[in-house]
Amino acid sequence: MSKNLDINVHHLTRVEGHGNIVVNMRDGKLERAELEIVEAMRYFEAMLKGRSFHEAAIITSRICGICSLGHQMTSLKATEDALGLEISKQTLLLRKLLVNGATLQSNVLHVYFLVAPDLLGAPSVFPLIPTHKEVILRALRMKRLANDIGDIVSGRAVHPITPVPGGFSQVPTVGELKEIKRKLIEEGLPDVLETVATIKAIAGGIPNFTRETEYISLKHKDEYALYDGDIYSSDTGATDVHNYREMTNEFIVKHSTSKHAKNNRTSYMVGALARWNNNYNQMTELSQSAAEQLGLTPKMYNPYMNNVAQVVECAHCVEDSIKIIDELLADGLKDEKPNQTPTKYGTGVGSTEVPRGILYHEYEYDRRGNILKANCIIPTGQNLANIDDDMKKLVPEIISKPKEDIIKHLEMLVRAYDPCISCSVHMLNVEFINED
Amino acid sequence: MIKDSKLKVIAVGNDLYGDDGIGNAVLCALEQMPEMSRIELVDGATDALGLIDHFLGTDHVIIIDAAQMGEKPGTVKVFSREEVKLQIKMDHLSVHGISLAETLDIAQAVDSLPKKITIIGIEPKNIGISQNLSDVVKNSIPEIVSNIINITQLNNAISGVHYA
Repeated sequence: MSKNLDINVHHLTRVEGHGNIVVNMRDGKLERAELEIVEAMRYFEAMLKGRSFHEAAIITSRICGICSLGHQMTSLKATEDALGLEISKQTLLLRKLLVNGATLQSNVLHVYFLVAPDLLGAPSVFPLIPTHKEVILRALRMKRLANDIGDIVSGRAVHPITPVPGGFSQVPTVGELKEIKRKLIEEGLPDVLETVATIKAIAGGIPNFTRETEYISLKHKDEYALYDGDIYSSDTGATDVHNYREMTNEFIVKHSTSKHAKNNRTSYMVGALARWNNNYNQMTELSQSAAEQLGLTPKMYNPYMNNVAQVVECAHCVEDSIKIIDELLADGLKDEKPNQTPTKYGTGVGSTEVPRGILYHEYEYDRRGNILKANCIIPTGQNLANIDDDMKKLVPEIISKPKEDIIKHLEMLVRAYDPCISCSVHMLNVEFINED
Repeated sequence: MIKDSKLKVIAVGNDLYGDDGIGNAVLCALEQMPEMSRIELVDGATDALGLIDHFLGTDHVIIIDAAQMGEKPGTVKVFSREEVKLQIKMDHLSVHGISLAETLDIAQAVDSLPKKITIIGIEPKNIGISQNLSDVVKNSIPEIVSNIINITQLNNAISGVHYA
């Protein structure tokens, strides 16, 4: 057994943003096992100060390229909570449809492009393209279907954003919804089944590691909670979203510019696996059967299985979207105007399950509907302490493996959480070949 | 109005990050121009992989993006994909760890590239958090717009298709 080990994975690839894995073992004693976050802090909250309630969701939807819809929904909910804006059933259904689309899109991307290469032992998706072209095309088709939901419901043309405080500035047509439903049935369902088969075939590459932790997600009495619910901890039970600070208890650690969070233990997990563990019995029939095929059992304590839970959620999102469209069509689409007349002012909290886990926005509004204070707590920040705790248990268990295997296990662990370390700046690095 | 989907102008970037919002600012300028009314303008935002969907059924795509080219801030360069080596660097990634450069490689591998891609790169000055463009980058908007108009007119002349 190796007594000394030094690992420093500088700038882990295939995650959003910049994170380093640092592990030191001396004489068989683990000194450090941490995910270092060194990116500069970004003060988005400061950007919201003084903004009107019409602007908050537009700005926050651009905080993060990956979770733009999640931020938008959470922001709208916080604003509506603060200003006492009720939304209609139609708005609620359309928003749930949007959240399903965003979850499907993000999960598909993560599993196919960032996780599958690990399971196939490839350094990235590129070497896999020639041999797995059909699989890549399927992934792109599923992503397009998810995009179509976003385009039709949220109107993402040049200047997007039909979801506004109190409702929608424009609603889709019956024909558009029917077309999405047709695609969900004709493309979505078969592609989900194929996805399950593909992941099942490579699931042998998922490391066998378990660490039971506290799982926190939303929970709703009537449905698999993505858009709405109470905060639920597998340790301490349910609480109202207004008490989110009691559940997040953010704290500062030396090795991360992002705050960590804890509730009942030293860490907790959020994301698809937390949602599964807390709410698996509320998923659709197709997702239950996908879970069974993929070996995702209730109370799953292997964090690597988060990616399998993401696949199972894809099945849920497709099936649930069909159901939502049926309900919208049965009710008849109404050309409603958004309810934008505040009935109060003060503080409001919104919480939504975004692909990476539970997200909170809190705004304090003055009587003119301008933001005085804002607070956002993102899922990745909440998972960081849990990732460290996983590494601390994992490293001693695999210490007899060659160093490169240990590194691979650690990299896969971090990727399994689908962390969004930074909000990306989209710049090209260009080198001219024929420059004079 | 029915848009001609043979040519698309796609802006990539995040306008919360200072000069990374240049693409969006250019789109806003183009939207005001009658001669661009039949050309599809797309806010690609930060979803690099999503660009592949926009490539479908398109002959020519113009991508506008802030680009680190080692030039003076505000410098505008027009190049084809073949003319440059797009370095895949992790510190300026696009969404989800998949960059624009990688997206173009994936699109090519699955035969989804448009016939022609023109990239208009603008050297940024400030990419910190801000909703404002720096002056030097803002001043480059007319040059970028005129480049786009030249490209569309050239296309018209070659294909006989009238976009305007």
